[in-house]
Amino acid sequence: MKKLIVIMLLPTMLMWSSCEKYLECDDCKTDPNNPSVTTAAMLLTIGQVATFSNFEGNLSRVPQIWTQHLAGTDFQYYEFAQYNQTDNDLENEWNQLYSDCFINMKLLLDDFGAGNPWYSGMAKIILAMNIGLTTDTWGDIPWSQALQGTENLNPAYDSQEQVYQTIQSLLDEAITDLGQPAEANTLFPSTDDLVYGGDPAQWIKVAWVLKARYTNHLSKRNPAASATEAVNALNSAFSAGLSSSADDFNSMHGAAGNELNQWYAFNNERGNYIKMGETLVELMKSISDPRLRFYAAEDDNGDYTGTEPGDNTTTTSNMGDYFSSPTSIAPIVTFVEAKFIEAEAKFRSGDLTGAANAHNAAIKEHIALITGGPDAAFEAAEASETAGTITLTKIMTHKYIAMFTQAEAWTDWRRTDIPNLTGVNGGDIPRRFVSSQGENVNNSNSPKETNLFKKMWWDE
Amino acid sequence: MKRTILILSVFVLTAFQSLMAQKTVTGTVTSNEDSEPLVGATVMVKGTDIASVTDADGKFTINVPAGSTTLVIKLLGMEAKEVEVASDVLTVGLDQDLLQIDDVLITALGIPREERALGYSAQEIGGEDIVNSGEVNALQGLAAKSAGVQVISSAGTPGASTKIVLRGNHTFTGQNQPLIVVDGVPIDNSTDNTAGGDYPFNERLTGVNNSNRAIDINPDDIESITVLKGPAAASLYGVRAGNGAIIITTKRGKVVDGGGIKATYSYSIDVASVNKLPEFQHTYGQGVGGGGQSLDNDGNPEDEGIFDEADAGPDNLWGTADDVSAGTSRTWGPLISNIPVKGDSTKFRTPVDNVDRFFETGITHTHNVSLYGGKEGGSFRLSFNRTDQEGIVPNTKYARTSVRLTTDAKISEKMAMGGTVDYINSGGNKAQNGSNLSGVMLGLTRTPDSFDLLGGGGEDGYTLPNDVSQHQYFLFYDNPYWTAYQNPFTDNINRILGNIYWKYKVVKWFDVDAKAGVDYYTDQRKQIYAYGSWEPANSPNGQIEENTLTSRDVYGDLLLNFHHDFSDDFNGGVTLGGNLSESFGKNAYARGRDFSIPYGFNNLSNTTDLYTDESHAKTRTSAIFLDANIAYKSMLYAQFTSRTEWSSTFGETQNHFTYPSANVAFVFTELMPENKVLSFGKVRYAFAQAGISPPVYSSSTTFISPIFTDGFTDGLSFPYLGQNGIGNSQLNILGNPNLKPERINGHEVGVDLRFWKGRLNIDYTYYNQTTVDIILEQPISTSSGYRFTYNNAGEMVNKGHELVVTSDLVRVKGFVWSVNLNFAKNENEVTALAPSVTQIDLETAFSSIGAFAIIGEPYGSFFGTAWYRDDNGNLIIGPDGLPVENPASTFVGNPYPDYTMGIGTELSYKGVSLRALFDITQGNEVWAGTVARLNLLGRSADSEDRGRNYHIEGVAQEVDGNGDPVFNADGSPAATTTANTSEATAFDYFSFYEGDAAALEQQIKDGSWFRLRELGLSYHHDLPKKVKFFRGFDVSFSSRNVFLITDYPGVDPETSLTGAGSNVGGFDYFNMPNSRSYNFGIKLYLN
Repeated sequence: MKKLIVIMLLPTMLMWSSCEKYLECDDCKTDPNNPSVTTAAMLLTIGQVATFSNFEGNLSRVPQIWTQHLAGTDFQYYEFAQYNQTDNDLENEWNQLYSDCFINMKLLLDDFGAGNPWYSGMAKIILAMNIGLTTDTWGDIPWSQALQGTENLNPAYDSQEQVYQTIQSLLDEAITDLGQPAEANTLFPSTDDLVYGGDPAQWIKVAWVLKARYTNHLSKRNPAASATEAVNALNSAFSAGLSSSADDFNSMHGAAGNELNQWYAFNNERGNYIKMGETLVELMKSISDPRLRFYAAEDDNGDYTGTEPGDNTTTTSNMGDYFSSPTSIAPIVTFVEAKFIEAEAKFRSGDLTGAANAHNAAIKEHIALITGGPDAAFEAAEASETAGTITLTKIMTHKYIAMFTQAEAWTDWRRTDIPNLTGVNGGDIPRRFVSSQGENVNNSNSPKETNLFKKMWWDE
Repeated sequence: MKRTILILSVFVLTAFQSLMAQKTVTGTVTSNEDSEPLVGATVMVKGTDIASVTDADGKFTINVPAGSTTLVIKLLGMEAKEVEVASDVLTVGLDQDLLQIDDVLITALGIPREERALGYSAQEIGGEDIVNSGEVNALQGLAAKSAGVQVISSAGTPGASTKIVLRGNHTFTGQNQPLIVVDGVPIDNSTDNTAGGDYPFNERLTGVNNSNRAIDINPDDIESITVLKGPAAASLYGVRAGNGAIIITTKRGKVVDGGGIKATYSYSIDVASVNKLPEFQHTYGQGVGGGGQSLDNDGNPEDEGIFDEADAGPDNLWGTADDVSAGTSRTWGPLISNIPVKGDSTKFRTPVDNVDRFFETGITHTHNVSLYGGKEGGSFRLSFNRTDQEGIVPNTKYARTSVRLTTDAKISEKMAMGGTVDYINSGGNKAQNGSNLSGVMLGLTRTPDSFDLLGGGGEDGYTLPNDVSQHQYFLFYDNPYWTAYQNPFTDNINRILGNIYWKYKVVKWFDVDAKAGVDYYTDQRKQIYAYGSWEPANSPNGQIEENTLTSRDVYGDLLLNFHHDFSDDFNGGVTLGGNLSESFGKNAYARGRDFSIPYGFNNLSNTTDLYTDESHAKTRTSAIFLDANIAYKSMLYAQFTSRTEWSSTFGETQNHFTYPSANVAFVFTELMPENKVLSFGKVRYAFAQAGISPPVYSSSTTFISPIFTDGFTDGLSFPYLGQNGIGNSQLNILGNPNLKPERINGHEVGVDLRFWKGRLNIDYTYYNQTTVDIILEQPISTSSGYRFTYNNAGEMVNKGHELVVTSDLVRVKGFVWSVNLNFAKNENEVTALAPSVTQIDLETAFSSIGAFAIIGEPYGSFFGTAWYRDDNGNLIIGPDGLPVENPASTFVGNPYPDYTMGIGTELSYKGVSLRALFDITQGNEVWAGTVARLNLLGRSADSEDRGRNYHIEGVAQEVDGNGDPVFNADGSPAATTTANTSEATAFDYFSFYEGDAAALEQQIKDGSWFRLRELGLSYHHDLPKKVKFFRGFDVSFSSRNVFLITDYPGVDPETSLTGAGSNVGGFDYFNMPNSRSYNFGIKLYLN
């Protein structure tokens, strides 16, 4: 029996040691498919492409249906058009903001920020514009405790007021960073900056316009101060060289299947899900707006028509080629928006001449941009305001037209109720998205908001 | 069916026999029932290793040493008999053995054990039962044949995968299918989809019905299949068999009297057709607003006759300036009989049943040739299989060629070795399935009957007169004929399966058994989307995908077997062993888009937008194990096993784990006096642990390329405008260096009762299997910057009952009527997830429905929206006549059945046999996504009744003074206590209540079924000895899926959108239908 045990033990010990050894093989422990390092250049590109996607996707598409620029006519978009939005509908967008966009900008700042103020500044601007989009969509959002991985799985929600302060300070820091001399940098953004090719001066202009945008959003909270600060920020933008639509921060696209403009991709893949909105089309028709044939495609009858809110008629116009062709750019932060902010802020602060001038300039610039040249008749009728004729309704109505495809239009309407929109069946129009399902489930601090009609902090 | 196993073990035994015989005895072994000679009976000299086997005439010759006087004659299926050597020539008659308790089953690691000694349940299925099923895929042939084995076919199309789950699901996001072991060596049974690394969605929801790789096994090579269901049975396989194991034993060569070669040839033809489709209306045509069934916003009926026909304009080409209308996907238009013929407004249309016309008769031809032979010292079996299947969907096919050689050799008295090599070539043509713009069912069933899918005017009908552009109803979905003929997916698998063994008997109490095997294959795939196809939406000018999958599994084990007889009553054995295995997989993917030459040249060189990616993975495991067993008389058996395992996927902190198991079997009838009723009775108990490996490379976090999409487009991805992007992504999972393997703790008790010498056998098992430390891709709040982290946090319980009853109700004069029943009820419950996590998404699905693990609910539950209800559970109906959907998702259904039952019966008399197999599955719910969408589109038969309003039972929602609905602060509808009187228009009813714009709850339907899965009649005839060449023949007629009774409104509820490679179950979204078939076969036995 003893002999048996000895004979049995020997091979066991031998095997034990060889088993351990056997596991030491190439590609067994280290992932051969994915790296553990990245570069500042790739992170900046990721931040930009994420931004393109955020501003061209549902976070603009759904609000554009609610503001009646567009109409949701089939399947999920018919649901959105009925103001049915479930907690899971915008899950991709929420995830994309935090774990595709914000986290990479944080990584860019943490790993490459020191000694590279230009990259830092660009990362901060990308953060500011996307945080702005997020809070204007959901209200209170996690920020100060966010992006800590497993260190904090239940990030608290910052109040929208706090988030707005965060946006302003990120932009202030960015302006400082981007103003640093080239020598302060070791890495230089170039072709990885898809929008401006690495030019810090262009980014500074964007930062000032964004400062104006988010200050101006507080028009109901603090009408006077928000007007003054917005005008100041814009003055800084203009003195930094902001002078035309050539300075716009637009999304950039290519013809390859993975680089397509997402309005185009959506309309191409999801035919009849969205159509032009009757409100916008009829408004533009009523003033013979020359941009209509660029905004909209001809319908089956060769006419330009829109679908009534909440209706599912699909014989109306599709979006036109200007905004919905494979390589169309999509406006994100523009000179035209800056001029409209200027008009609104100056109007609010009583500078009616300044307001009228900015209003007229904004319209002329946009007509030229969209249609390729001026339109004297239209401009005579719509862009010839004076201190005596300018009204907030005119400014905001024209901004409503100009902000086609942009989420900003929803914020403008929520702040000003201009133009006067009637919801489906005469009811309210949604003023926020419900809380994300993932947050409801995985973050104990989620407010679990289910009421689409609850007003934002700045809207109260 | 177990003959080969026995012969193999006899072969091994004879290898060690002594040659010191001194007396030659010859004889004949016959059956007492019909006096026919018995082939393959073992004749042994009692107390020695000397043995012989009877030949085709039942004759044997054996050398009996001096001093020995008794022969033991054994044959599987017959009662063993001992006879005195009274003369040199003997005739022995054997009785039928219905008890079969001494049959040997192949258990884990190929260790044979007597059934009576097993302390756990294991069920064996004969190879002929698999062949008789008529299934090309051997695993599908297991359906309804064994308790606790759930077999799920993904579709009835050629090469479609089959999924197997034993005793429920055990892990969350990893593999839930059992290990497949062929002749002791695990083989690959993966089901892979082809998709680029930049594809943002779950590719299993789209694409084709890919094959699971066990389809490469030729059913005709299978001798038997043993199903090791629980961890007790499978624990010796360690981290590979946490989900149980399917042990396939293949046919081997046999010694032929005189050293000749014997052969069989069989041929079968199988004719298949669709067995079930959703029902359609044939009355209304395309467009919306017809029939007065819907109201406009002002409450007035819409004008009749508005319809929107897809019209590419005079040039018939899409995307050109003269396009008239893109059409609409809906069929809420006017009566077809009111729609004028295009180009002639004086004539009206007649409905075309596109769906009925589309499907074809599928034909499968199967040829099998096998040769075997051998003399003392060695034998071989050579088999050849060719299967050619043409599917029910046009231009789909599957073919398999297999050549297999098995040899066994006795090298010396102490040494034996042998091996098998199997070369398989398989693959075919598949068509697009499920949720994609090319999906066959999508383009086919959404098209209204007012539109003829073959009316395009081109040569084939589905093309336009230019013969290269497609003719289609709706701009965005491919014509299904176009998909079938122009967008083929082809796969071509070349596979080598090989194994060798070596056995050496060192001393009487110690022998060595070594085994090694390799499974190597390449799977070359090509997917073409012709120029002008809608899929992929972001590449209208055509796409080619070239995908090569390479897989290599190497396995080796060494067993040291010790045996010791402690006394006459006690004997025991110990097996010590070790094994090593390595798995390597590589996926090389290349894609080209935008053809330069539009038609006819399908090569990557013809494309301008190129993309490639590659991924590979390698894992190694090694283990040592111990298997000790002891037996007291023939009454009490105990077994203890332990396996210590190392795996390269374990975390850094714990690189090895030990899994113990123990079981006892007590044959209580040994203590009882002989009685005529209860011939054998055993109770058993087993406890075991088994493991499941963490996913490969899960211990660290790496950077990947993000993909940005909202779920409605294919989105933006890298390289982008010439720039690459590798960083964090929501697709990233935070690695965890402390991961442990998951463990399954299984308990099972059972009782095995055999009455009247085996005329009635009842085997009952209760089991309780708890998986702990289940690795979650734990969803975390994405505001943390990451969506998932790996964590050993989940826990899930499977408990259930299994009952197997076999009986010979009648057994008189060669007439046998047997009835077998197997019943299984498994209850699964997810009992723990990570702290504060109450549910996790198992696999990305659609935005409206997910497959989730939810605490307190079964694994894989449907997760989606439900209706708001009042405190009494009534629906709350708004003034529009519709219930109100709660936007928060919740548990809405369970795709797994309450119970499954198979009832088989066979009548046989003198070579004629009639058999039937009923399959009952109860309580499985299916997401009827297809029918819900067809309701919404107005295509379903139900939606034909649209000239009226619909009333939905419930309480009315409160309304304000303006008649507008009132909501509570949380967004829920304010309920009244009065019954609803509002009615919904037909359009609203079928869109928002019975359609897929409704709460998901409404779309979950009962998928229970009762089906006659197999019905067969066969005849076996032995030819007289004097006939040369031919020994006999079989003729058989059979039918598969003869009938199906179910309330499910879509295709056959045995369906799976996502296939065997997925953990999503019960999704039906434009799935391919299943089939019914009729089979005729002949088999010739040749000398």
